[in-house]
Amino acid sequence: MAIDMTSRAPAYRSSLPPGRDGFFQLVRAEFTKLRSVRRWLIVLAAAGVVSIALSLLASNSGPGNNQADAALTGPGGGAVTDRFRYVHQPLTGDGEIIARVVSLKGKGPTGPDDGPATVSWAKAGVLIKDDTKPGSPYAALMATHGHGVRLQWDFTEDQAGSGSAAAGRWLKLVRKGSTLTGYESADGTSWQRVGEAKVTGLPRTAQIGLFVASPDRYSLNRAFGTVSEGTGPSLATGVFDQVKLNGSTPPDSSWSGRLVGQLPTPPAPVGQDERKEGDEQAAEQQMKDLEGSDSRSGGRITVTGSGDIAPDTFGGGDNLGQSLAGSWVALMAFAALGALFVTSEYKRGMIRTTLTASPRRGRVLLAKALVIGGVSFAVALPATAAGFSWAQARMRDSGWVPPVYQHFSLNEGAGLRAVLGTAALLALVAVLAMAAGALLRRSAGAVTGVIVLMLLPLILGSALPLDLIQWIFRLTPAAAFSVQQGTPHYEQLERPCMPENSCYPLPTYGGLGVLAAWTAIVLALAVWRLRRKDA
Amino acid sequence: MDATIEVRGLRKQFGQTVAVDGLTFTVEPGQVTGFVGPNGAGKSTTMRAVLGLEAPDAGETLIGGRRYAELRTPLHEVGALLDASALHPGRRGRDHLLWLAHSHGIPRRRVDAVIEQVGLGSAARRRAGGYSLGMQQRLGIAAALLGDPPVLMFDEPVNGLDTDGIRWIRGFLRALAREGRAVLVSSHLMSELEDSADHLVVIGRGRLVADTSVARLLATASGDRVALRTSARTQSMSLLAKEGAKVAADGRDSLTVTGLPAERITALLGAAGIPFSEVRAHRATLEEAYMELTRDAVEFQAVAAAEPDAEPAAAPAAPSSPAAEEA
Repeated sequence: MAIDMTSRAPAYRSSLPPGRDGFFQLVRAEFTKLRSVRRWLIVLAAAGVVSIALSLLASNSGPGNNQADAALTGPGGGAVTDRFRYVHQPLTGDGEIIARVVSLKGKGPTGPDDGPATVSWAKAGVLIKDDTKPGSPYAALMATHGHGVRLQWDFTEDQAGSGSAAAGRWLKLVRKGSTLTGYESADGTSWQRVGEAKVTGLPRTAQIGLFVASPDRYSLNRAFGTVSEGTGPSLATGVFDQVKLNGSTPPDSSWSGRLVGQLPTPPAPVGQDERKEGDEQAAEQQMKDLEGSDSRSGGRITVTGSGDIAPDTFGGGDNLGQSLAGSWVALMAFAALGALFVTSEYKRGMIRTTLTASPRRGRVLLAKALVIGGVSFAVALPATAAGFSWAQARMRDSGWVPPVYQHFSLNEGAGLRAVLGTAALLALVAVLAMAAGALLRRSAGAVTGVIVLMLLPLILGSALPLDLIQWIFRLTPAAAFSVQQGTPHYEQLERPCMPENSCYPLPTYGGLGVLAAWTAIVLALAVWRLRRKDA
Repeated sequence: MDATIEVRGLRKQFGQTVAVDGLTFTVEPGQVTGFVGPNGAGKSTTMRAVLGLEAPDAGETLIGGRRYAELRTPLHEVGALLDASALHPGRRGRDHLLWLAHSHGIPRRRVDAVIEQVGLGSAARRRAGGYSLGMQQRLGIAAALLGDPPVLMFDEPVNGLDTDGIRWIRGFLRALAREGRAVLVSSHLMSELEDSADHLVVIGRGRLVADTSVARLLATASGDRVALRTSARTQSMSLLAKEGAKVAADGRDSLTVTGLPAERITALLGAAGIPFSEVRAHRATLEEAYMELTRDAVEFQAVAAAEPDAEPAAAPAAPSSPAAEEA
């Protein structure tokens, strides 16, 4: 057929002002989309309300440990354990102490279920302390049975030196004002610096000497949904020689040994079921053992002790996550909303309208991510803050109080971090679900995938071996729950870091970073697919 | 910018199926161009390709000389209605237009203006889930008009409209073209374009069948056939054949004469005293012209009929009642 050429009419000229194609326009368009579907607004509101309600519900329980009054506190204000055998004398002003650890061995009482004779954190070393009052400031350089040489101070601080075995290790602790520097050596001549401790509140004349402590044995039994922990006392004996004290000491001064701190009462509360009732003599003997002993012969000093110098987190627990429990359910709503925000466009073919209005496809997904993330954050933040504040207030009323339980506040520290972090977590979950929805173009798969990745690790928790669950909390988006960890994990304790106890293997923002990385990767894949495929 | 749509050697394949196969045509401004072909002929694929929604396997599509992806404010360059039901059912009609407007910084009053223009009125404040097909079409047309673009594309806009709606949209399309815009309207039924299209692009199985003005197509299809009704069939046939016409018998008392104008036939029969009851010059409808076209494309027709996924409506429908006029 012939092509018919009509005479051209004058081209149409619009009287509208020229359009703008900025990213802001795109964001505004996506925001209008989000706010104009009433069901989505209801989901958002429900997410906030559910989050608050469930946090309150979770705060209904009383604390496990009510012995708040009895708790010993360290210089930092937290509950601490401070019990060890100490052979000491006063030192005025600057000075140093040198000693060689000849051996460090665990010693009864041991039963068949008590594990190895020596607990891994059994420690022998040199220590300087305000006085012999438990809970006072200190710095200690020690050789441990299983964790090498450590410099520790004021209970919470711990710095690792070499991983050398205790036997034959030389230790040197130097005081210069409030600075304590630890050195270690294999031969007593070439010294390696372990670290430096700033101990404020150490008086000019402090007690310096040798110490041995052996923390309670720890047994852990994890099964689906439950974790049972057992503890029982242990003893260790450290032998020192080449002990040298340089500095100003009183003229008639000599080494004197003593038990620092209080023995536990009753001595063996858990994990010692085999002991028969009425066996009081044995109990008494054990108490006597736990006091420890010390002796000197020639240049050797032998010290036997029990206990530990460390933060006490066993009695208390981390209730920060509990006051944010609502976020675990709100997360599902945010995931669903995030996915729907994009899959609803695929379902009806509206994505074509979107891409027609904005042919630069990558920008569309970025605008969507910004909008769903921003709106989710804006809803999650007040809801999380309100749920957290109410739940914490309720829990304080029912006995979750310092020093056994950490006080969390919305204004500072872990509390503030957790509230901000949880809101960021929920916002990232919404973006992740949106990206997954754009990638899969199906809401069911996207929502299920995100919820499984986020919540299954929490649910499985103790059902999996500890190593595995820790890796899961490092690699999956669930790592972000690290923002809900309130009490720090102390490596210098026997108790491992367990997600079911609100302890996560990654640092606060590290975990959030894992979730952010997942989100970024899935979003990049979604952009790639959107650009590549026909719409 | 020239208000044109150019399709050049467009080819698009989905798996084994070639949806569009080397299609080339240009949509000129100032007229309504009908884009006709049976369902599955490749109309929608072509339109999606023009909008940058499908990446062509070969060839290109241009709006005013530029590829869609290069357009920075596309709603101001081309307005399109592809699928009127592509709406979120929970969103009000007006909000649907509003987000589109926001994406280009188009002011709110323009949204209200297009709502009035398409006659959506108060329905714009209702959720799209409750819209009839006709309301969806009007909303889709409003969306296309939002940026007041010089190029417009409507895929089957008549679908779902009632008689009033159809009459409205025909006038509306013509008015848009009169303003100097290029208007491309697709349909699988030629009759729908009867009163609105100035130009036609006919495709079948992804290939161009015709690219012609409506006037020329009708002239060609009408030919110079004359229908004659007479009781003296044999006499008439020999008489007219002698005069150089081609005569075919259609029925017991009807003949189709080709090669002689109606007035000459009347005169000849009258002079020979042969009785006749009716002589009428044939004027083809668009539908018939379309039939003719597709009859020419024998290959197309044979294959189209064998196409399993072609709906019954897809096949060029036989004219239901040949509109005839007395000579």
